[in-house]
Amino acid sequence: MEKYLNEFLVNEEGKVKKIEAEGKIKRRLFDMGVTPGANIRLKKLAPLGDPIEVTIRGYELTLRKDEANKILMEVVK
Amino acid sequence: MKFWEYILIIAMIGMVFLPFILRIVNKKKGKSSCSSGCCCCPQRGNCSKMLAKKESKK
Amino acid sequence: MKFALAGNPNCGKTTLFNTLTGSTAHVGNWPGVTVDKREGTYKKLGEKIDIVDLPGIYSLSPYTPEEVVSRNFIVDEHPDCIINVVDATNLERNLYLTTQLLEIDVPVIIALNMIDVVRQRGTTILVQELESKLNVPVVEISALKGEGIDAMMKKAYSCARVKRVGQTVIENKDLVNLIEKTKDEFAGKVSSPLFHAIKLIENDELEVKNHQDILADVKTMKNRIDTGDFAGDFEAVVADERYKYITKNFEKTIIRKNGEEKETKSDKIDKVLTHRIWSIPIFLVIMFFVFHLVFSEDLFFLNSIFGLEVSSKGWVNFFTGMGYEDLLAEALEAGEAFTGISIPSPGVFLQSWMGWLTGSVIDLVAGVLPEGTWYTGFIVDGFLTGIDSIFSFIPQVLLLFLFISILEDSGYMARVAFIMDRAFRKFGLSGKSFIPLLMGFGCSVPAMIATKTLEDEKERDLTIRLTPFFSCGAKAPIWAMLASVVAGHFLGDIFVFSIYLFGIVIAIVAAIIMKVFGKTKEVPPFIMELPAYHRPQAKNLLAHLWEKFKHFLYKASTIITASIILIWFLSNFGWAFWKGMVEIEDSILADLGRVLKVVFYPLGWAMGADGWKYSVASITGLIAKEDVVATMASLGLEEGTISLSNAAIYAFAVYNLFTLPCFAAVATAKSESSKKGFRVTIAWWLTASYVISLAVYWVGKLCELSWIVGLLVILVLIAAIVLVGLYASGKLKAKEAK
Repeated sequence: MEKYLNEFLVNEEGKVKKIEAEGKIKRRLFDMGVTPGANIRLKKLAPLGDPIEVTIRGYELTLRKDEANKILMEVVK
Repeated sequence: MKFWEYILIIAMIGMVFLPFILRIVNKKKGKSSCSSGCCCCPQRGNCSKMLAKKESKK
Repeated sequence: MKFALAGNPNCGKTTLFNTLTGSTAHVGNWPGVTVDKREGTYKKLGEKIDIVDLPGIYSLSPYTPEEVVSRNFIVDEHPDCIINVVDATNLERNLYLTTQLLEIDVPVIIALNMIDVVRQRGTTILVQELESKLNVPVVEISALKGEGIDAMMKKAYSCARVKRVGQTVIENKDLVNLIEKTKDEFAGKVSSPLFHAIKLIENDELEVKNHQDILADVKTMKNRIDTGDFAGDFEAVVADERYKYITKNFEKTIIRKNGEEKETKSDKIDKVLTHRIWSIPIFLVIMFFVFHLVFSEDLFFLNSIFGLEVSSKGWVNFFTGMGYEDLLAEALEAGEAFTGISIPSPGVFLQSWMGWLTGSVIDLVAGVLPEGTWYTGFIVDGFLTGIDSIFSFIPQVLLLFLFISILEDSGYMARVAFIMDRAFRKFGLSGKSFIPLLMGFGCSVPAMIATKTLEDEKERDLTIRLTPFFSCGAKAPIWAMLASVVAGHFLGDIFVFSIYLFGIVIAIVAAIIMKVFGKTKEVPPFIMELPAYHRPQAKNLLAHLWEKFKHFLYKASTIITASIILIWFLSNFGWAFWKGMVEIEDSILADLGRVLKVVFYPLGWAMGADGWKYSVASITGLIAKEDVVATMASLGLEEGTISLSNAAIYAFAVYNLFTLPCFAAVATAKSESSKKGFRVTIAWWLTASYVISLAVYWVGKLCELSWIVGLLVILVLIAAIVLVGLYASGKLKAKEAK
């Protein structure tokens, strides 16, 4: 099943399928290891629902929902 | 007035001008008026021309 | 020889730097602390080696100032060796930068840091595997524990003497071909042709700008390559290649103990501190706790709630800095029996003793000097009293700094940015503005300079405008002093906490107002790592405090002393100064003050016979905020002699909080803001302080008259603010929808 990272529920895990961002955001995502094939698990949401915290490549990353909505994922579990 | 009272007065006047003198001296030497030092500053010394020269030399 | 330390943020680079060079550079645990290169020397190898600590970076692209600094340094200044500090607990992502460093024609060694944590988790890293896959030496170290450092330096030294040619981990055949051809075009023109070649292929901004000539050829060649899903996005292709290599080879180099995926200590802590519901209340409680420990007269409310008191002479003297006799005398005057005191917080405890120290110095000097002479008056009542007034609050200010440093160094502040980002965005700021604003609690000057990391000019202007509302260290003596006056009526720490909170709340309101009337631009990305929590090091904290204290001494001995001398002169001589000294009420300063008094009269604190003194004190705050308290003291306004009502005290406090900061900060604001932005900022500072002080005084007076009416007015005001807020956010939603 495909869905965007911002639509994930807590503890859902998936593989990155495609990055639909441009410019600075795209670059930053790559630098932080968010590339096609990377495994991402949604760890938790901030108190106000946004930003979100994910586990990727063995560390914790936070990003906003409107940055996560550019990451297309293939849900694994 | 005793002589050292005069000295005190001169010292007081001097102390009033001291900050201004120090500011000019520091600008020439290239020290910044900000207390943090250039290491934690995103400006990397660009806050003043002298500092910028100093930083780019490194 | 010159070695450079390069690595991700939070990988322990700066700790390593401190160990190597014996310095005490500040280590922060969240993005943006090291934004410059630091230099020091390593002396243990006989030959002196210069060590350069580059800012933490995730890659060598030119998108942030840190990356540009590091990249330019490595590529243009040719260090003899790069020590790539890698966080062994986070190998995969750290190696991304490594693959880029390896492409440069410079000797590289990898320092696998935090190896102690790795061992603790029961994991082993196959160092030799890593070495063979990356083709450079790998050394295990723990910068914190000081393990493996000398071995690392010896290795780096021997590597530095051997020339190294850049290598890439990219394996895709088409790409490798393209790289080779591009590299040939660069040959002879630049050092590290491989690095430049790959960056140009990635469409790197800097490369494209500098090498337009080669670009055209490269473009033609690129067009011939089929990039499949990547649709010609070579940046993505290259990044993907790097990670493919890392993932493929990474698996084999780490042997995990079973169940390593379980929660780490940091995760456990975060469960509480970033809890969906409780994290914000917890944050407020922590902040209140900090203020309580610094400013409260009644530790843990033991007195107010449990009636715990201390009344024996010895203990009272201990807790109040030899204050038993004075308290006894006070009680006698009031015709009451002395029943004892509450146990003070550490901050107040330190303040009492500092006060005793400075008070003793004053008494000593006064005893030595002849009575009645002009110079005795100056030295004792002017200079020493003025300096004493700020010195006695320094322990509290330093204690506050200490707590904030602890919170920062431990990594908690990054969590706060995470929790608050959404809220911040509603005010036209991002979590990134949080950093300069937080620095504002220390000093506005570096805070305003730190706004340079914000890419949007409007956001910068706004952040600068709000910075002084985050009460700086120099204003703290004002709160501390007023807290001790207010304490008679209600609790000192609540007073101070409310001042800080007030500043923050108004900053939010101001930001919302400005966002409504401004143009919204793209907010910079918030993608940020949450580093593991770590125990702040005592050495670092103390060094940081010492820096601040030294800076304060410098300020005190120069501008504050100068101000005191000026104030003393103006308050002891009339316009006909050649005629000699006059009574304070007939002095030049009193006349000037009375003119000011007219301006400030409606604010409440300028009413009354001493009104001109408060007015003058506020003005001297322009020179240095510490001057407010120093001037008040020189003019005779101290803990015992301030007779303002609570409403007036609060209004005075609020005025000084929001008005123009010291000249240094104003000058910094000018140089960091846009022209228009600066003018608006000045207008804001002058108007907001006046209006808010006015409101606070009159509402306060209402409360004093009648609790009910006062409360009603406050509720109405809050309702008004909320309505404005809703209207504003509604307007914003409409704007964003366009």
